[in-house]
Amino acid sequence: MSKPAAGTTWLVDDNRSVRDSTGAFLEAIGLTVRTYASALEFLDKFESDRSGCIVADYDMPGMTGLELLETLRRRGSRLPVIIITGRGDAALEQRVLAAGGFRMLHKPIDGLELADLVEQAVSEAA
Amino acid sequence: MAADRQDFGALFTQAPGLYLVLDPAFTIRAVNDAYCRATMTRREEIIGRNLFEVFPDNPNDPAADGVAKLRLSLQRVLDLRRPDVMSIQKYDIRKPDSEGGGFEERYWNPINTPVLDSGGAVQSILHCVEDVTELMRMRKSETTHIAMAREQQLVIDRLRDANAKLADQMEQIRALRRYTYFFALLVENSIDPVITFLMDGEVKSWNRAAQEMFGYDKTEIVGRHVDMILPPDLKAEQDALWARLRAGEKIHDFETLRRAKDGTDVTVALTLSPIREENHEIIGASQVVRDITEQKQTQKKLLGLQEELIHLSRWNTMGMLASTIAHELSQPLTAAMNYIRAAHRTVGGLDLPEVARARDFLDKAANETKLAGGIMRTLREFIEKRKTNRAVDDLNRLVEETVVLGAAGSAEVKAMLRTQLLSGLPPIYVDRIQIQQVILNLVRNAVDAMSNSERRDLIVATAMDGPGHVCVTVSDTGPGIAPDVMARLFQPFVTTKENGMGVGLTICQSIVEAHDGKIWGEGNERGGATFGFRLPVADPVEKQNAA
Repeated sequence: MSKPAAGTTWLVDDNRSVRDSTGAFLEAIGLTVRTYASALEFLDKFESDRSGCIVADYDMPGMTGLELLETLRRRGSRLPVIIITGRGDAALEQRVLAAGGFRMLHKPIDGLELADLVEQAVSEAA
Repeated sequence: MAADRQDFGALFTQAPGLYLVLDPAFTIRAVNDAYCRATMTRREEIIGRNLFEVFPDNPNDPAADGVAKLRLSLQRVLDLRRPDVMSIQKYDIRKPDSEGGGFEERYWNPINTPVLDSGGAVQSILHCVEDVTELMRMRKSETTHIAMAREQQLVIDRLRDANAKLADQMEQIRALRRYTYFFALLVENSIDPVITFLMDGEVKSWNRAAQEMFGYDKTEIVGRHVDMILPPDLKAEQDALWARLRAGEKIHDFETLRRAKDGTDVTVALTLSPIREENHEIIGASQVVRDITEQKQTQKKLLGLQEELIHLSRWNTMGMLASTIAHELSQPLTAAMNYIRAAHRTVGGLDLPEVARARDFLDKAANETKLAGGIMRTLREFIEKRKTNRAVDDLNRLVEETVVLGAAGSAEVKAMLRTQLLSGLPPIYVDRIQIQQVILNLVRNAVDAMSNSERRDLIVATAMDGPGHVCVTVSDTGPGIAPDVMARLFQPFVTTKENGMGVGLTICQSIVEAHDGKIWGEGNERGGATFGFRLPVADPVEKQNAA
């Protein structure tokens, strides 16, 4: 565990308790966190010059985490994306990586592991 | 005066009329020539003799009544002393031996007139007759001709009537014979055995199909008891059937067993109808036998298939259920873990013995939560490893097979199920058990939804959905989908059923999405609900792999 990563962690999950708790922990370890309840809400407020790391749930109504990743890549964003999921399988993981995702994590998620991954993703992107 | 008297004597003797003079004792006293000629007598032979001795009745005519009638008339003349006109009288005349003897038929018109003396007593009777034989003969032959003609006409008419009736009856007999012939042909060539028997059990007819099914030919069973094909242990059941027949009841598709000549039992459905005479008395019965052995076996096989599918579905359901639970639990477990980590970090900078203890507790809580996460992971990996058997398949065939199974389970609800399958659909690449489970689930849901509906009309349809997808829709006439349920249709643990767990549609969604498809539910124009799902058509590569 580690020094705070540069930039912001953009956390997108429709499940409120996951969103709140994960946000609370990441902030507790000194990260800057922004939370969104849906991919569409995130895209609505996102500006392409932002830096940091996106953590998005896969299984969300309206637009999935994978679709969000694909949309960002189409718009030219290189921001690292970590997909978290409660029901994804190996096939989904392949698709996430193929679409340019940094990693897929299975729920339940330990904030410590997530924080490590976020740091890793940001340092690799830099 | 004497000359006058002689003149009168000659007058009398030669008068053209026929005259006879009798005394009151009916002795012939005088007769004129004409009378003698007419009666073929000679004066000297009859004068002084009794009238009836000279003219007796014709002994060959049993109906002869000349003597009696004439005697009565003469008696009336004596009694009443006035003339008596007799009606035309048959009175045959004896022919002289020189002319061959015997009697000649004659008819007479007699008038008997009294000749009174000065005291007013009858002195003698003048019997005056007219021979009307020719007239009578003519009249008689005339009447006979007319009568004969009339009679002939009657006979002809009667013959004509009889002929017409006969022709009628012949035609009826021919029609009956034709009908009987066709009927016999129909019965004889019926695919199902048809047996007729009397109420005492005597077999009256036995067709070819009966012979084929039971092995007995006509000569072996007609005239014998129909119980020849009854397994002995079914006697009581048979008695009950007889009682129903005697009461005039028609029995439809009664499932039972009958024994063939070789001793094997055939599973049959009997249809028994009482046969009545014209007076409505039941004299026998017809029995149509249907071999339902194969039907039973198919039914059994179907039930077996259904059980297998239900079994597999149950396994699938358990897997899907575990997956759903894992997903649902992973959220609060994530939250719990992160709150614990956050709490740990928040109090991390404080160097107090109590805080050290609290950190220790939080570490333990984190470990326990991790452990729960590990269980989740193991469960999920187990589910992931479940093999899915994907193969190229035909959606219509999947629907047809499943609908039969679904319908078998919905018999008690009596829903009317129709399929509208679009032929020529491109193949799909699926795990057939899983897709059948989705269809079965939607059909069962639809049937359940209609359990309180008056109209229970279920349509399962297939169609193309764009060029790259096929779809199945299941449309019911149930109460439709309530607005508050609509938004949460596929969420786990949402149910409108009393004993439902609310995972069926969630599992369907998981399956469909695992096949890169999409599932939906909506209201339909019939007031019910329509659920549908779409699946991508098989890639050419997958088709090649399968081929």
